[in-house]
Amino acid sequence: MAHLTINETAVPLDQHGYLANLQDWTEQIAVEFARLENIVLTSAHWEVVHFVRQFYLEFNSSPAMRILVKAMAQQLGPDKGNSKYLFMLFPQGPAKQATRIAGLPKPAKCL
Amino acid sequence: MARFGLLLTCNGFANQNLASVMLFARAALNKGHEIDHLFLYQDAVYSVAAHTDLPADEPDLASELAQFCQQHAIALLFCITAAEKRGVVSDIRPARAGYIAAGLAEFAMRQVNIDKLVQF
Amino acid sequence: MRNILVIQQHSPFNSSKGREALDLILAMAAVEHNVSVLFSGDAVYQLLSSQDHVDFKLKAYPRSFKLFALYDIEHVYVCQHALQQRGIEAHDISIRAKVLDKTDIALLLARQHQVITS
Repeated sequence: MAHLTINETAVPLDQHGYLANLQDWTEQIAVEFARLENIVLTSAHWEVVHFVRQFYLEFNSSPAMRILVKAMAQQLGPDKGNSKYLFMLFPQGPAKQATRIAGLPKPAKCL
Repeated sequence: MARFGLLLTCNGFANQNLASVMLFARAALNKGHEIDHLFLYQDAVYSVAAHTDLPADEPDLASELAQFCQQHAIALLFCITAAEKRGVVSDIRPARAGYIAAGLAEFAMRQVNIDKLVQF
Repeated sequence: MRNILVIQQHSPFNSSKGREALDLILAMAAVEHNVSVLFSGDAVYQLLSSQDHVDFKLKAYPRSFKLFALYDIEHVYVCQHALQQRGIEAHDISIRAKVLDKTDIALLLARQHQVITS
């Protein structure tokens, strides 16, 4: 099984390179995932990362793009709850990248 | 004349739904109706497995269905997520010829094209 | 936009049918269909909070029913007969759902363009 090495400890990953165990997540792991995604985390990124993680913990489901936009608009306002803003922060796809950095399972492909 | 969508949700080997859906589709087309799509979800995605091994005296309904849909230009779609979860398709395991990977989103959008959805 | 009803019929304890039905419900709602959900038969067990227990080994998808509000799914119903048969009181249900009798269910079905069962 693939893993991520953090402080000389191996953290297991799933076959898609996402965190295998939700509860293993730390901010340090987030920074490492971001590096692999070629993203330097700013406070704006962190806000989204914490948002999707909180979303998962509440709904037991990784948010699909459309619903991430909607939930963010409701909670943080339309300036942040729009896909342009999210794609600026996570160019390869906010649902895909932010969930990985937040230590969540990969969202379903088909939604 | 009506436009139909057809939804399959149970395992095509363990059930008669593949036979039924083809009988229904033929009858509908013969009566001049149209069929927009056929969507495989839940256990119906097992029919997408390309490596099934059937003895010669057992009907290969999954292949027949693909031929039928091709002949009549019916979109034959399956839910990629449901198929991947069941190990039916993967990066190294392509879908059976004629079956097109799609998502629930596409199925949802196609509902506006049809008058009736029939589930098998 | 279509009126689409998804009827949940299965227990959450012995299959993932309800889970895949949930994905379908959310996909329909995401493209702005007018989605209704009816919990009937053993699917009323999906509405009990007991699946949240840690020893429950299928994915605890009923927790995701809270997403209905976010997806603007307002028409959530539960079959009165199914509740009665299983001795479940309406106040035991973990989400907001309207209890329907046979006549109400017939009316609900009559309002739909499409009905999908799972």
